[in-house]
Amino acid sequence: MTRRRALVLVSGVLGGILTSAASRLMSVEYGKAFALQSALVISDYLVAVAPSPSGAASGRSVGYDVGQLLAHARALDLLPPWTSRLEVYHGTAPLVHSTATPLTPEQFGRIRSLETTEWRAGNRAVLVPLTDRERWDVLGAVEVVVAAVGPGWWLGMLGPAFLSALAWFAGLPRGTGLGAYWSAALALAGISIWRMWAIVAALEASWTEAMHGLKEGHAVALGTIPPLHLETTTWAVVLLGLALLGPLAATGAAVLAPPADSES
Amino acid sequence: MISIDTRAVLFALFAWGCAADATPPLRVATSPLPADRAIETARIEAFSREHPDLVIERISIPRGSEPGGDLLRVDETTFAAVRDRVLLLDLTPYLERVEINLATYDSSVTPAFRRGRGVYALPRGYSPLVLAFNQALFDSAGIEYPSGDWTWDDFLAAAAILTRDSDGDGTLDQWGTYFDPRPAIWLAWIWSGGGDVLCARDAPRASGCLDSRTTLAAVRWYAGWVSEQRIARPQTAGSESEALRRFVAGRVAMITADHSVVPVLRDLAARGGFRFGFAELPHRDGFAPRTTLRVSAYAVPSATRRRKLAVQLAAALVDSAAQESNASLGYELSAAPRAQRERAAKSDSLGCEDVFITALAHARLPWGVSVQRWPLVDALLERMMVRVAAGGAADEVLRETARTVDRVLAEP
Repeated sequence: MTRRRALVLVSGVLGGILTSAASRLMSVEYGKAFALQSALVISDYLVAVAPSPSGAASGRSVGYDVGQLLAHARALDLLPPWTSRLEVYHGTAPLVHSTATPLTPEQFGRIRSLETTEWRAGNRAVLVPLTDRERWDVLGAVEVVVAAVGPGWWLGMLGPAFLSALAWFAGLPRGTGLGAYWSAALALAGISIWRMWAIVAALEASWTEAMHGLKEGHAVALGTIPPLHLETTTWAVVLLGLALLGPLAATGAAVLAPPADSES
Repeated sequence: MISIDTRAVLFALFAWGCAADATPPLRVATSPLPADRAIETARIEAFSREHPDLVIERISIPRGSEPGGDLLRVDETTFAAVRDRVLLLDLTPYLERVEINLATYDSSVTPAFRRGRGVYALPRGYSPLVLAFNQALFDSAGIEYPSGDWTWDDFLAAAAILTRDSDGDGTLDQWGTYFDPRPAIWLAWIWSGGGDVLCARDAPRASGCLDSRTTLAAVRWYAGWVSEQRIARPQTAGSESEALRRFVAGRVAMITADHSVVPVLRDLAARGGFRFGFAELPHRDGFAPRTTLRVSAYAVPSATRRRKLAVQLAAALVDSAAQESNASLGYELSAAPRAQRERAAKSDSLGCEDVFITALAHARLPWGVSVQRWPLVDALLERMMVRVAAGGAADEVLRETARTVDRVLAEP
């Protein structure tokens, strides 16, 4: 095998694998963004609607009526986008699913002192603080598990294999199969981008549905809820660039290769 | 709103497979001025020691851009505009929790950040604009030092003598004063001439004030430094650091300055015997002395998710320890008069604090504290001054600018 052909083959395999990896990463990032924004909105929602215990003194940080907090949290778990993916902790204790693992005192202490979101379970769940009604002290946390968004295994397996096979032919002398290679790479990029848009559309639809559910009866308390916005342009450029890596290398090799360079 | 921007995407591509996301830093949006850096660094370090797991990041926000961060440094030119663009948190419910008693802060500063019963920023320090002068240049010219009752005529007469060709090469290399076309500097001079750029704090407008006869005379007089009297080098942009550089180099005899120049001048005096003094801004004969007040403070955006930490850090930047360190650094007067008095009694060997304290009695908060569109108005006024100084017909330029400012202020 000539060096040129090896280069074309490697770039084809690499382009295919990277496209597949970027596509997978994009799905994960969208899922994480959706989970994070959901957790933040749910936390705001609970602060707005869950009452303090009756007779609580005003002006100082007071907790929630745990029964009411539990009722609201369980009602949220019934909303389709978050079904069985939501947990609300009062202190370290889970309220929605009694079998869920409590937060460790260290976890809760960290969230409480740093007032920050925390990813856990290998980035598969996000934990955001649940504050008191004055948004001062952290009294608990809201956890949303990242949902798997969009099918992807076939793209992950077939994309690289397909491009690699074509890369083999494209690397032949005089660039045999170069046109087919470009077409396949463009098709792979198109499929990846289409898949991205499909995921975004599905998430936005879920978001609208969820917000509609939240706002019913609590529109005043919630105020304006921001729309879900997922940036797609950069990902589209990344996916296109990676998918075209192989054909670009193959074309470059075909143009730059000396005429004498032939199959050994 | 979720936004996965370019950097996030690229970061994600490289960080895929890495461990869980690191805790984001608490972001303090502040200015890149050395004074702010010096004042904030020590207090942020002290706060970090109390919160060892917390990372605090200082970010610089260019003027006019969208302010971001968990804590915002605001001043007399930005407060109203920031409050218009970012919903600021009313800090009143939290003052007791962070042990801040605003009654112990100077009453000339705290109203700047109040709206109704709400308090939207915690004051750190302030300074009136005064006149700094180079004593050596005055001595060599045989002129008496400026005093608090100097009029504009006294100022012009002295500046004319101090403007000279010191090396005899045919070009002026020592100027009486420094011309700065930015309203942040010249508004104090216009006020001390009885004029103003806007009328009515509640519904501000420029017509009737900016184009009034008194303001016109004051603007003509200030622009005349370069166009008529030639006591200042002509220039279309001003910079306080450049003014200070030229002042300490002996190229400019008098500059309009705030307290932030004190540490630099104090060091130079200690090291090389540089002699300087301060005086209240001269005023137009027949009008009372006036000057503008510069203020610095910290505000917390309502949208921050780290409210407690942000409010606690704001408090740490203005509390009694901060005021003491602020007074000792000397970049501004401490917003807590007690800390300022104690410091002045201990270390004011040069006797400059009295001038600043006396000037406070004549100082007023500028329009940027209350006018949301001030940054736009400020830009229009700067352009106006440049045009007048370049020889434009002052009455026409002021009338036209007043109309434009009114349009800007009337925009919904």
